[in-house]
Amino acid sequence: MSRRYATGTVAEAADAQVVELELPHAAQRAGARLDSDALGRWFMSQGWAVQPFQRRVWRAMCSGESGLVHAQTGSGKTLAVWFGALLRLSDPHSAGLQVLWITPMRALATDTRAALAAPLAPLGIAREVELRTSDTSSAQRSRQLRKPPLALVTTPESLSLLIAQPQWRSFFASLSTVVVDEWHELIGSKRGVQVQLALQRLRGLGTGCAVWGLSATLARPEEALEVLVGRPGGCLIRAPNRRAPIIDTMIPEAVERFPWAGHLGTRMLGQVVRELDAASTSLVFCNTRAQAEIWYQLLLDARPDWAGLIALHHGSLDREARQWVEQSLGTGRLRAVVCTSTLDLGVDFAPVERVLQIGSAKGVARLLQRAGRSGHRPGGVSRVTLVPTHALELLEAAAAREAAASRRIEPHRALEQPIDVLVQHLVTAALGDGFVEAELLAEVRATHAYRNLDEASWRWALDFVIQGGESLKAYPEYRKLVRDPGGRWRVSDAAIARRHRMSMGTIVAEAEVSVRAMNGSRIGSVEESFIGRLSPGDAFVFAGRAWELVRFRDMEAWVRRAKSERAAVSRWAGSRMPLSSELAQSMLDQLERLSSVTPAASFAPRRGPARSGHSLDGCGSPELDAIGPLLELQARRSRLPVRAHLLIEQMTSREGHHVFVYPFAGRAAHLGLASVLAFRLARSKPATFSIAVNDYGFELLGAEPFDPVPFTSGELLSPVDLESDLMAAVNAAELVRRRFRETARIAGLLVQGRPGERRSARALQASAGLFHDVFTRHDPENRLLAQARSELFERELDAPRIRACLEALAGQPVDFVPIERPTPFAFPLMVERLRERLSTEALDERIARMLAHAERGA
Amino acid sequence: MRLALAGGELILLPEHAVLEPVTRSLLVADLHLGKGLSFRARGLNVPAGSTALTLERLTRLLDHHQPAALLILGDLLHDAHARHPAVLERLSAWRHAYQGLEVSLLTGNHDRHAGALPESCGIRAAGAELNLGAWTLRHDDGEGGRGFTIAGHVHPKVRIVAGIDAMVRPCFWLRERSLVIPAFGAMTGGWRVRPVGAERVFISTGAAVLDVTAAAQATSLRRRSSRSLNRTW
Repeated sequence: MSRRYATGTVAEAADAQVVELELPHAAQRAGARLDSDALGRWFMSQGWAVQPFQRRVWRAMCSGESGLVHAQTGSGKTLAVWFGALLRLSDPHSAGLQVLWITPMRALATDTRAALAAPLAPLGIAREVELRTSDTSSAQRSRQLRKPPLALVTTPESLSLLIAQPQWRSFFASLSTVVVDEWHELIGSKRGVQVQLALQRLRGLGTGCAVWGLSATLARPEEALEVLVGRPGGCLIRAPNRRAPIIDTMIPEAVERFPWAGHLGTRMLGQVVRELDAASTSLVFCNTRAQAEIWYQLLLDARPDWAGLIALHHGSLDREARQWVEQSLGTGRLRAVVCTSTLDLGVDFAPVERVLQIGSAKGVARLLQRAGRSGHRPGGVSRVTLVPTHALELLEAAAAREAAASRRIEPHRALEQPIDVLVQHLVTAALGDGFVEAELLAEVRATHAYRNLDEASWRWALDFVIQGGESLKAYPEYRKLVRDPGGRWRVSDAAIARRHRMSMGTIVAEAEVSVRAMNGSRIGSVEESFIGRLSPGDAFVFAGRAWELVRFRDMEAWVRRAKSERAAVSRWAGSRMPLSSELAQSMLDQLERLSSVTPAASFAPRRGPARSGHSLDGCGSPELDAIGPLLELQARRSRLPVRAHLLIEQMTSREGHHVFVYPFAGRAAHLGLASVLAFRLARSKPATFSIAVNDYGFELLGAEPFDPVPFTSGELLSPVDLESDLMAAVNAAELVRRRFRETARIAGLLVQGRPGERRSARALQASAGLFHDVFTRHDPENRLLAQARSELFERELDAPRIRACLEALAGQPVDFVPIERPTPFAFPLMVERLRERLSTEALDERIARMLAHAERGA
Repeated sequence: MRLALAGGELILLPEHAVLEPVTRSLLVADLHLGKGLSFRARGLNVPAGSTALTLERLTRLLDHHQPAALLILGDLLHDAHARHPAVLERLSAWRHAYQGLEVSLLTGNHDRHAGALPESCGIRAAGAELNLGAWTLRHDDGEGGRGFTIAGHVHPKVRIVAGIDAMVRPCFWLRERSLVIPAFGAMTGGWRVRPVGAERVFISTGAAVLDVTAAAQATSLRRRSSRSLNRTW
């Protein structure tokens, strides 16, 4: 947004202000309506040229169209849409909210507000742009309802809260434009569905509001547009791309001592410090908040003189701390910021010169997005440098670069009618000013997500919120919605209304505990399960400092600065991102190329330690040159995994019997595949397996030796009966029970404790697991259960990818290789701690075996 | 499983109850009847059936052991919403099938919230504490000063580990001066306990109760630091 276009001269800008706009009534209402001349002058005053795509956006917006602007960050799309929205105003000075700006992250809202507000005064518009997020004080919220600003910057959750206000219709009565920023972040998630439903409510007001989306590079922009506007048609405008970003890798200096597994990457500290030293301002992206905390500490330890010059930024830090970091980044005061995805999006920080990515970015789109955070100075080029945390990530970096070069970007799949989001929306609508069934059904069906919603599903969702369950078994004591004399369904109970408002949204996080220093200042929040494991006096690292827990009560942790140096790093659960199939396939390409250019003879076992880059030709890529010796070792101890053969390694250790399988189908599909294999193995003979997966393959660990025959005969890996076996395996593995958490939370079943809340809410609390068990026992046909199961199938286990994988394997020879020591590919699986279990043993036999094991060990 | 303690013998039943053989008393805790109904009354959709299932299980247990007395260690009803005619009727109907049986209820924190039971239920309110031979029965073992306490309240669960396998199950938790019994109710969660020192934990396989203290104290092989396994190339 703040990028200056070196190409556009001021003279061109002056020409450009003749924007070929045909503004209706511009002449008649010249006093009130903003005209394009004013915009052109403003652009000129900034030294910018109006770009053709911006003019196209303005034209489309003025003719009342909805659409999507599809462009890289820094292309000026924010101004395109914001000025388009201003041009649409018949009178910017008339009271009432006229523009709604939806941003996916609360952290972005502040910057967005500032960027939108900046041109208003020069354009002579004396109105406000305000924020409304969960950080907004209640006094400000009620003031906004009384005296709405010109534009409101908000999040999907806060928007849902707004339409749950009784006076929402009058509040939005003069709305003319809705902008959904960073639509690519929302489209594939339930938050995106939540936005679709809210947008449809706003369209239903009949104010004729236009809906415009902004999005970074998407694989299928036409689909994204259709999901946003709810119907085919709409206007897709692409901005010209900037120069392609540079993607390179920080090659470890002592490559032969680089670990095979791990995720912290702390060995790269020295090199990272040198890179940061050489650049003016850098962003250091970490994949988890815990990793960011650790890296921040390490950098400070390595360079104590950087205190005050480096900062930490992640979603659990207090808002003020985050804002300070963002401001300091903008002014170039900071040398480096260690951050998580919280800085993926938003207004660009011009001083940022370099981006470092610690560990795999897991996807091409995310890597490009992060690269785009740098190089916004005139003539600058974006550059991201991957800092590997283990050896195989060297391969991933080369793969990512190639995938990015050939624009193989992960597609976003829009969700189809999630019933939990619908259930939540029904209560939201009832909270607003109530709803009439037929009207709301028509409105819901006008969204992309629910365009095919059938009568039975609608009836089920309605019965679920109105009478607590299906019509056949209505519960007289159930109370949530009541019908008012006018026939509208409403929420009558204040406690139910309050609970719904507090738990609205589709982001399912663990209960958060607010962390406060003894003087009362807020530091941020951590998950309850982390703080619950600590006792008073224990130390933990958070927000870049060591704290001692003083007491934990009513969802608030009171802390003081710790004296001890030894401290646990706060952990946040978060989900592990799977490697995208685009990236996984690109990795396989790299391996394929290596094995094809390298004569088979070089894989023959030989004596002596491997030395860097001789027998394996790295094809000119520095990453492949560096990883050469490791792959050579893989080839010597076993084989290189390639497309033509499925590699399976077998090993025995004191833990038991292992098999390692490498289909390169990504972590999600591997979990499904491993579960099916374990289930099929345990069908003939009851057993319990421990399963570890990563993006390259999976491990089954069992108490008994594995017979190679079923693996090589194709019996285990057959696509026949895949779906039914997967279903049985998944139920056996208790995965549905865990998946039910999200569904139960969105459908409003889980009541969480909140900071400062007394125990009164406790009698209403139950775990998602308990809900799952009660539903399974007494209402097995419940659609929420069915949804949890199908989400697990389609999204978490990636059933279509499993089928494709097994079909591809069907005719393929299997290399079943016994190994004595773990190979470079097997090792990361062996040390993986997040494991699944699958058991077909009877409970008493399983416990008996466990006890026997415990006694042997004792 | 028979548990020999200083005060005498107790039998831990796989149905998550305790039988005191001398007085032939059956001890259960934390039934939380009407919990689903209470959730529904407050707008949370929970299917019905848990209260009926809990009472059915209790019926089976009584028919099998034919005790002289049933002692409920608190939290019979979930809360005031659960004190609903539908729940009380069900409870009375169950009670009337066991005319000769003496049923006592120690007051648990949830019972205090629910309020006193109507007389028609035929359940004697036994207050906060009851003596049974050498044992003190309470809802909560927390403040027990005298003798050995048998209590409920925390719904103990334990995680047992053996090699690659692990599971979390409700448990009996034998502490130095108390025995905490698992929740009997069909819709109850749990609180994970970790046996320390001489404490012991027992879980039910459905058919038997087993001492799993060793497996509860074992640590998973996978807990080893990956550093110890890590090597370089």
